[in-house]
This record gives sequence, structure tokens and C-alpha cells, in this order.
Amino acid sequence: MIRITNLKKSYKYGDNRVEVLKKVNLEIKDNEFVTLTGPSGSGKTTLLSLVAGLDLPDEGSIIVDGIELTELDENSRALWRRKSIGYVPQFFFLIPYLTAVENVELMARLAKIKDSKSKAMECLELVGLKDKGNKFPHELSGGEIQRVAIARAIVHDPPLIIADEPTAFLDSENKRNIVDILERIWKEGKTVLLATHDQFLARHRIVKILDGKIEE
Amino acid sequence: MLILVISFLLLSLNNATANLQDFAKNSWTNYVGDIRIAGNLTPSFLNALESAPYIQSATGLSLFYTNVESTNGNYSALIIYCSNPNGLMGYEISAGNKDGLLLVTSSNIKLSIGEEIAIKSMTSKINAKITGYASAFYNFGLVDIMLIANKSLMEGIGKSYFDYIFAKLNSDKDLESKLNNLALQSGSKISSIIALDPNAYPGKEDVDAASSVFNIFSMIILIVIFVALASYQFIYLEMNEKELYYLRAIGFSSKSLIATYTLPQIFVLLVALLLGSAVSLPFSKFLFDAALKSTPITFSDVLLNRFQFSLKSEPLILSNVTILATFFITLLPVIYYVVRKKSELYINKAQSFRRLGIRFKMIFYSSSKKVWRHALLVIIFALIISSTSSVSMLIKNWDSSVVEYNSFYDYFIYATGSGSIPYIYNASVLTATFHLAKVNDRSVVTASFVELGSVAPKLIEGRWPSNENEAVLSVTLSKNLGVGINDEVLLNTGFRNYTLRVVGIAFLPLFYLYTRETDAIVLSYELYSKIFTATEGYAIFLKGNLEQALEKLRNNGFTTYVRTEEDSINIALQGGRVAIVFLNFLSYTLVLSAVSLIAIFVISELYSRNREYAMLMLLGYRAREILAMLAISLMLISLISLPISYLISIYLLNVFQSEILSFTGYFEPSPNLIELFSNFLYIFIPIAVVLLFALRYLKRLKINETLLK
Repeated sequence: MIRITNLKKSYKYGDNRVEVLKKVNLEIKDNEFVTLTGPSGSGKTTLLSLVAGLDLPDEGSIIVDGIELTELDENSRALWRRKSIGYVPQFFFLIPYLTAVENVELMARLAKIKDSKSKAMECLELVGLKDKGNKFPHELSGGEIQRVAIARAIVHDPPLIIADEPTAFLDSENKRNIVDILERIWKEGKTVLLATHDQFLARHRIVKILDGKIEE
Repeated sequence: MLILVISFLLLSLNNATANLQDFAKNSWTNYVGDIRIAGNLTPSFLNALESAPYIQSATGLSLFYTNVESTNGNYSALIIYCSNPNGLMGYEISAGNKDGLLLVTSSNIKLSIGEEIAIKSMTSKINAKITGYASAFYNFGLVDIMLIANKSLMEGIGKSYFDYIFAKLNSDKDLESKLNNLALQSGSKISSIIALDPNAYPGKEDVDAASSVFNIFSMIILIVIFVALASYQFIYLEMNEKELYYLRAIGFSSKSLIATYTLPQIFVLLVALLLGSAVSLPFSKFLFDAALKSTPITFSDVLLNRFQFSLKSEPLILSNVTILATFFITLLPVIYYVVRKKSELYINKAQSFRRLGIRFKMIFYSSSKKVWRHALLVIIFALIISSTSSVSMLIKNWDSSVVEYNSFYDYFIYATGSGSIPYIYNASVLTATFHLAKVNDRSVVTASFVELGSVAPKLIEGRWPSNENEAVLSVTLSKNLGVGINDEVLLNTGFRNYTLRVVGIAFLPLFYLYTRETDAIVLSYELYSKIFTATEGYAIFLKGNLEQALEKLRNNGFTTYVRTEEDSINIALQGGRVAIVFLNFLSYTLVLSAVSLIAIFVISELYSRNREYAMLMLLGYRAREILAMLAISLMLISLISLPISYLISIYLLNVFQSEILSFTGYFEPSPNLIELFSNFLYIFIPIAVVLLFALRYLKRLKINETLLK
């Protein structure tokens, strides 16, 4: 499903150019659960953001379900993203003035899902937040916020779920809960790409990334 | 930059107006003096006056209306002899010398120095030469050319007495009787003594109206600057919220935080005010000159040269203090925010807020911190749109009303001569004086029909006066005084009072240049000739055969000055230009403020919501979809402001109308929805430009970088 070939990406910091990804090659099949591990600054977030079409590499190719992402312009990538990706970010970011169910419903509406509100409630129930739909993000705990983020990521039934360090700021119980939920989603037929620096959370196929290079 | 521009504009306008009022009033008073004595006044009477203890200074003027022949044609002329060129009613030689005749530079016809002309004197023709040019401020009727003669030339023409003496007083106790005694002793005959009103200077209405309109717009500008500054403070805080948190965390006290955030702004403000003040002086001079040029009464160089334009302390202090006060008020939320210890986003937890739709909340970003800004934006938009629409509505209405009340005649003839005016077919003949009397303490043009024909100014109500106790008021005067038919008014000429009953109200384009509606009163001829025995000239409104009328007048020894209805209308239109200069200038300023506000609003939204926008783009929103939300937000605010704008424009138009009534004359501006809407669209062009920049910003937004900040 995902084929990454000779991927290179660097960033400019002041006068210096830092190579974050150095000729990365990776293949992920449909319905795989891949855990991307590595220390902070190893390139996990950069790799995930390139796979999600948030940015373009300096060199190389990324093919997801037959679509070459490097050949798409920004608008096309955005359109592709709303249909094909469910993204769970590492920081707690829900729209602060929308309730939990509205945050999920927002994604459903963007993907033009019918009965977006009931679908959103279904997804919240799936992540165990049926009674918290009417709460604002600041009324939820960190773990609950991330669960809402997961519900938002699955509401439009994307084939690929990308979770970039979703457990970074959670306690150990919540960390496990989040990864359990991701596993449940994977068992329903999704492809899951999880990035974490926490070795204890790594599941199934583990891909190590160190200094911008893959070590499997 | 905004402060610099606002302080510069406010101070320029304040200073220009202050100088204008100062110039018009003081120059006028210092030029014409306190009283005007009319009659057959001998040089010995003038000498006696000059040495009288109750007289500070006096100048005698001899006037002679005639026709002159030059190589270029025949012209109506007024020849003036002034006993004291450097004193009251004096003149300044701008070129040549006074060996012969000096051409007053404000004359309609320009003759060259050295040109020979033939003057039709009392007994014969006299040849004389133009030997120079002079600037003077003489308003003694409408003629083609005004010439200043020396004493011997005037005696050669046949005039050895003065028609007017203008004097500045040391004391006015028992003045009339003293003057009459002096006249008797010196063989003079006084026909009238008029106290000159220092507040009735030419152009006063223009200046007052411009000041009033300016004051209204100043208030609007100050509101706009308040909102702009307040918005700026909030953006500043939002952009530096994290920094504030860190500084507090490492031990900065509230006092030092306040100093950190406010001192740079105060420094910038003071520099901006200083620079603004420095730059305003030349610009306010420019505005002053522009305003003077656009008055119908051309303020002569002789007045301008006696006036020192300067940066007046009162507008300087007032403008700067006002801006400083506005700025410090907008600093209060900064101080409150910094002192408040924690910064958290307050979300309205009320049940009703939860029920608001996603779209509504995303477009209006309804946290309570922002709602007030949306509301203020609505009001500011309303003020700006209604102000600019009011200006264009005023101008358009003014133009059409001027045409209407000048439409009753084809030609206007001003005739001067000593004989009786002959009968002119299809015309009315009036005589009028400019602002030498007051009605209910309001300075007026006083007129009377010498001959009331079929062509007459339009009577709105009632009839023309038939006896000494009756009067007809102009529509402008009746509106200004709030009087109507059968009401009584008090006519005051400085020394005498007359109670008159209003029997009619009419459109009276009887301003000195006989072109626009203004404060005017028409008396019976019996009363008029009692008050103003010397008739300077006759205003004839004619429909029909001009040549026939002119021939008749000339055969009776009259000099004539002719103007078509179209020329009169153009002059009247020009008369509104003083206020329109300011109004247009101020409305452009307001449009600029609107654009600045919109830019501040958009920048504020982009900065405060950049993480949210990055999140939405991560989910799959495109840059233009996010921009659409921003544009809808702006558009909805603008649309909401439209009905409010309409209501405010009705109010503003009424305020403007009453404020500028005295100089433009009566007209009825009415709010025009099309005008309002077109101004509304006009502001959308800069909005579109600002949104294009916003789109560029969104397209260049680095999603992950922004989210990880």
C-alpha cells in the first residue's frame, strides 16, 4: 500500500541545512500495523508528515495506494488527505470552541459523510467517550482529548491511520489505552502507522529510525 | 505608522481650521475696522475724525462707477481712491507704481501695465494709463475691472468727496451724535452709519461649516483610532502570550512586565507625535491655502500678507493630548492582561453557546474575547460607510439644489450708475447689501425689490413685503432661525432695531455674488432705503432679450456686468468647495482607516488562529477554503453593518445639513441606498487585496512547524 523510495528531506535552520531523512526506503502492506520507533529528532515526524502529504520531500518518491504524492499539488494533497488519511497528532489539538462531537463531526463533514453527527457519536462511542460528546476540549483530560482525536481520525473510514506520538504527554495507563484503541482499529482492516519513542508501546512490525535512516 | 498618519492628519486639519478662522476674523476686523459711514463726506470731515479721541484710525474711500474703453474693448469699471493705502481698506502695490491707475488684481479683466484707457468721467472723457497692479479687498459690487486712482486723478474725474469712511474706534459712546455734529461742522452729509460685525466676515460661513464638519469627522477618526489601537494591543498580546508566560515563570514581576510591554509603545508613540507635528505644519498650510482658494470670496493678498500662518498651540496641544489619551485608554487592557497572572482562553460555557452550529462558530470564532471586536467592527464599518456615503450624498444633493434655485432666470446683470433704473421687460430688479445687518443676531444679506417683475426668486410660501413692517426670509434663514410666516424677527443695523413680521419665505440666491441660497431678508423698498441710503448697484434677474436690456441700461448711464445662469450655477457650486475639500479629504482618510482596520482584523485572525488553521489544513482543508471562512466573516460583518450604516447616515446627514446650512444654503439631502451600497462596494476592493495577502500567507503556512510551536 505504501512504497517509499530513496526519500530525502532536509530543513534550513538559519544558515545551516540539516538533513533529517537520508535515502529512506520502506514498504508497508495493506492492513499492517507498523510502529516507527526512534529517539527524538530521528526523523519520525518528518517521515509521517511526508507520508500524510503535509510536505514534499527533496528527493524520492512516496506512493500510497497507487498515488504518487510528490506529483500532487497542495490542493490535491489536501483533497487526498481528507479522504485517505486519518491523522492523530502528538499534541492535544482539537478546535477549542467546538465540542468533542463537533470536532469529530467536522472531519465527517469535510469528507462529505452522510449523517455526520450520528457517525461522529458512533466513533466517540467506539473510543469510550459516549457521554462526553458535549464537552469542550478544556473540559476533557489529556487521554480523553487523544481519544477524541482518534475518533476524528476514523470517522470518515480512511484506509490509513497515521498516529504521530499520540501518547507523548500521557500517563502510562492512558498510553496503553490509546495504543489498544489503535490496535482495535487495525483489527477492523485499517493500516496503522504509529510513531513512538517509547519502546514498551511498540507493537507488531517495528521499524527503527535513527539519524534519518531506517533500521529494521 | 498609523499613529504618525493620524496625528499628522488631525493636527493638520485642526491647525488649518484654527488659522483659517483666525485669518478670516482678524484680517477682516483689522482691514475694515469697526464702523462704516456712508454719505457725501468731505476731506475735512475725515481729518477731523482722524484727530478725534474716540477714533483710532480712519480711511476714506471715493468710488466712481463708470465705463472704460481700452484697445481690447469696453468694460464696466469701479475707480476707487483710498486716502490711506497702508491703513483700513488699504491696498498693496504688487507691480509698477501709483503714478497712474493701479489695476486691482482680483478684477475679471486683465489689462497690461502701460495700457492706455479712456475713462468716461462726470463731465467728459479722460485718458489714463495703467501704471501698476495692486491687491485689495474691495467688495463694492460687480464690475469687470477695479482701478485704484491717486488723488489728483480722482479730482480730475470730478470727485472731491468720500462715499465711505471706515473707522476703528477707541470708544463708541454717543457715537452717532458725535459723528453727526462733526459732519455738520465739516459740511458733510451722513446718510448711514453701520456698525461692522466682526463675526460677519466674508467666508465666515464657509470656515464655520468646514470646522463643524471637521469636528464631526474628528470624532469618527478618534473612534476608529481607538478601535485600531485596541485591536493592535490585543494582537500584540496574542502574539507575545507565550513570551509573557515564560517571563513570568522566570521571575518577572507585573511591574516589569508592564514596563516591558508598554515602554516601547510609548516611545514609538511620542516619536510619531513629534514627527506628525513637524510634518503637519507644511501640510496644514497647504490645506489652508486650498480652502482659501475655494471660497467664493477671493481673499486678497493684501489680507494674506498681513496674516502670519503658524502652528497654533491650541490645536497642537488638543490633537496630541487627545491621541495620547486614546492610546493610554487602549493600554489599559494590556495592563489588565499582564497583571491577571494567568492567560487562558475563556469559552462561554453557557448551554446556548453549545447549541450554536459548527459553521457559525468557525466563522465567528466565538470566544468571548473576540465577540466584542466583531461588534466594534460592525459599528466602525457602519460609521465609515455612512460617513463616506454622507459625503457623496451631500455633494450630489448640493449640486442639484444649486441648479434648482438658480433656474428662475437666464441672465444676471449687475448695473451701477447714479440715475434711476429704467424699466426692464421680463425682469426683476433688486438692491442688496452684504452682511451689514443682523436678523435675530444672525448676520444677513439685506435686499429689496426696486422693481418686482415676472422673473423673480421662487416664493415657497406667502407673499413679498408690501410695507415697512414686513419682510420675506430666505429658506435658509427661516430654517436657521426656526421662524415661519407671521412670526416676528428683529432687524438690527448696529445702531437701530426694526421689528418685522414675516410674510413670505423664498429661495433667495442673494449672496453677494448672487448665486446661492444663504441667510437673506427682503424688505420693502421704503424701509431698505431708510437704512441703506447709498445704493451700490442693482441686481437684475432677466429672462429674455439681453441685448435690449443692456442697451436700455447703458443709454441711461449705467455700467453693466453680465453673467449667465450657467455661470452663476458654476460659481455657486464652487461655493461649496471649502467644506467639500475637507469632506473629501476626510472621507479618504476614513476609507484608509477602514482598510487599516480590516488589515488589522485579518492579521489578528491569521496570527491568533494560525495553529487552528494548520490543524484544519492537516485534516484536509485547502487554503482557499480557510480563506473563504475569513472572507465570509468579513462579509457578514459588513452586511450586518449595512442597515446600521443607513440609520447612522440619516443622522449624520441631518447633522451635516444643519451644520453647513449657513454657507451652502438650504437643501434637502436624503439618504440614498444606492449611494450607500456603492460606497460599501468601494471598500470591498481594498478588502479583496488584503484577503489576497491572507491567501498567500495560508498557502505558505508550514503545517507541522506551526502545530509544533
